[in-house]
Amino acid sequence: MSQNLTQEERQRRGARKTALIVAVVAFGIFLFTIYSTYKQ
Amino acid sequence: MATTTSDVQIDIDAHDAHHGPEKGLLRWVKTTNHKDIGTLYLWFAFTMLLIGGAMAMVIRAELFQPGLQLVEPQFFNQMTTLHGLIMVFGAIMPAFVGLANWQIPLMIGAPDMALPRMNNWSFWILPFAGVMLLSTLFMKGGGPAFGWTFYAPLSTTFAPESTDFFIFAIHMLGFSSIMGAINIIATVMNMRAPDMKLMDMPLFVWTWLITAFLLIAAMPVLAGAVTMMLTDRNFGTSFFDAAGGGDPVMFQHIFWFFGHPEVYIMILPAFGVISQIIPTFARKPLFGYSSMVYATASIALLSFVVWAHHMFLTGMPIAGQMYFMYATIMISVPTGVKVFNWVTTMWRGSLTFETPMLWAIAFVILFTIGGFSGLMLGIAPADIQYHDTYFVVAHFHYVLVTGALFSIIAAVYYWLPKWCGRMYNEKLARIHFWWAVISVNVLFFPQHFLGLAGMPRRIPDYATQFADFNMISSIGGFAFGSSFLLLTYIIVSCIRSGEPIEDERVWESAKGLEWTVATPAPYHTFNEPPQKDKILSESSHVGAH
Repeated sequence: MSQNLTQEERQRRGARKTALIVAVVAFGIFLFTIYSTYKQ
Repeated sequence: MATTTSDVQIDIDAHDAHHGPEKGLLRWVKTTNHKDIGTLYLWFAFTMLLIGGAMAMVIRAELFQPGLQLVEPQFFNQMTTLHGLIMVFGAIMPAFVGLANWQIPLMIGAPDMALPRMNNWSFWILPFAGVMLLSTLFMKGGGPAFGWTFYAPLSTTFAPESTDFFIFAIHMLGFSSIMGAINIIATVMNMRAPDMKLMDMPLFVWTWLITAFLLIAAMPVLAGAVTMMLTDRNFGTSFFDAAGGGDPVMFQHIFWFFGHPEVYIMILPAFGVISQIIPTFARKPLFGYSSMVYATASIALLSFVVWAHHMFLTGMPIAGQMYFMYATIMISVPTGVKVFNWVTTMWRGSLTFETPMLWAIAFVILFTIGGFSGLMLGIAPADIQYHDTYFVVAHFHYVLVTGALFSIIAAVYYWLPKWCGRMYNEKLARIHFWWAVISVNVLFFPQHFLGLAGMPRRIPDYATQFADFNMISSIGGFAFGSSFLLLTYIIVSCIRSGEPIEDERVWESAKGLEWTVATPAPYHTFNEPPQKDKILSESSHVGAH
């Protein structure tokens, strides 16, 4: 199945994964900022 | 013959390449095209630059002579606050995102950004956030007047009601920046032409990739700070309220943990722009490409461990002062590498001085002045003298105006002919350059002297001993401000009636994949990724392959 994907579609699938990981990291930093200030 | 999925996909792409943009205003609302969105970002940034610039004119008019002339002190404070916020979040950052949108896909041989619909959303949040921020000026109690650093408790306990709107605007601006950064990371990491390795990428792409990681690490911290401000103001928490067990100094730590990387968010893409322009007009490959990449990464890492040099006078142990002083001074090493490489690229080159090159050279000289005054401010005992004076104002305006803004103007002169297929008026552009570069120094250089003599920042009135340099600075300010009217005319007349260009390579010695597509850049580009030999022959550096 994946062998039939175009180069661009393969790239876009990878890009969506990268975006998701980066977004989760960003949200984690946001939560950690508030949590660590609270713990102070 | 059987048709495979990939054949169908290629047919769809081929069809897609033929249709142009939608007609009418809805094109701009619904667009997912990176060039359209880049254009939107750039016009938005330019509009905000003019609004923020108008506020700067109010500030300089009030400071033209001692005494209170034109505005109330409270309104003056609102002007300094909103001028800073609008220039940082509304002008410089969106302008660089606009340049990234236009150039990154073209430079890495990608058909578009990785997440085009999110790209549309990232942009369209901005005008609403900008209007919300500006609307605070018309609310009861006036707009935010606590400075762009919005220290607690000025921004919590003692702030006007409009501060909640300011907080929401900052949330939206931050959200837009984070989405923009996610898109750039995903695009650069995943959408490059398959044969382009990381060390084949142009410097502008490298600097933006590193900037995007800075944004991902820094902007959520800002979002956390304003969220805690919001709950302190409205939901009874005491994150920054000493009376409830909180700590207002913690706000300063959190703000500057965001704020110092923010400075590099605004200057690293500028380094990228200059690293593209200088090789073109020196007709030499960029000197020390890989050292430029490593220097950029080093600056980015160091930017997270120096934040408290903004807080030497807030109070910290002597060991803390020593650490933050030396860590700050260390940043001059990778920055020096960059300046050395730019100068060495020009060394014995066949230099010509078209307008983008003039701006790039002005950047190298004037940004270095801003860097040197930054070093002076980073020395803890000296900072006791300089802190909160006009010396600081002079320093960061050399970095952000003659640094970041100059690089944006250089980039627009450099790439505008490729974008619109027309050449700007070179004679007017040179007049604009000399007008701006002289006036900006008349505006900001005397502020060093004012600061050294002890004039505090963020005041609407001052002792008569500061009168002469303030008058000179204001005259420079009015001249520099009016230079943007000429820039507006040059850009608009270029787009509407500039001399048409048909050469793909607008500048004869320019290297890069963006110069291999037609001029003006077609609506859709790189439906087929460029091949290895083309990528290597268009590389503006040597040694990476």
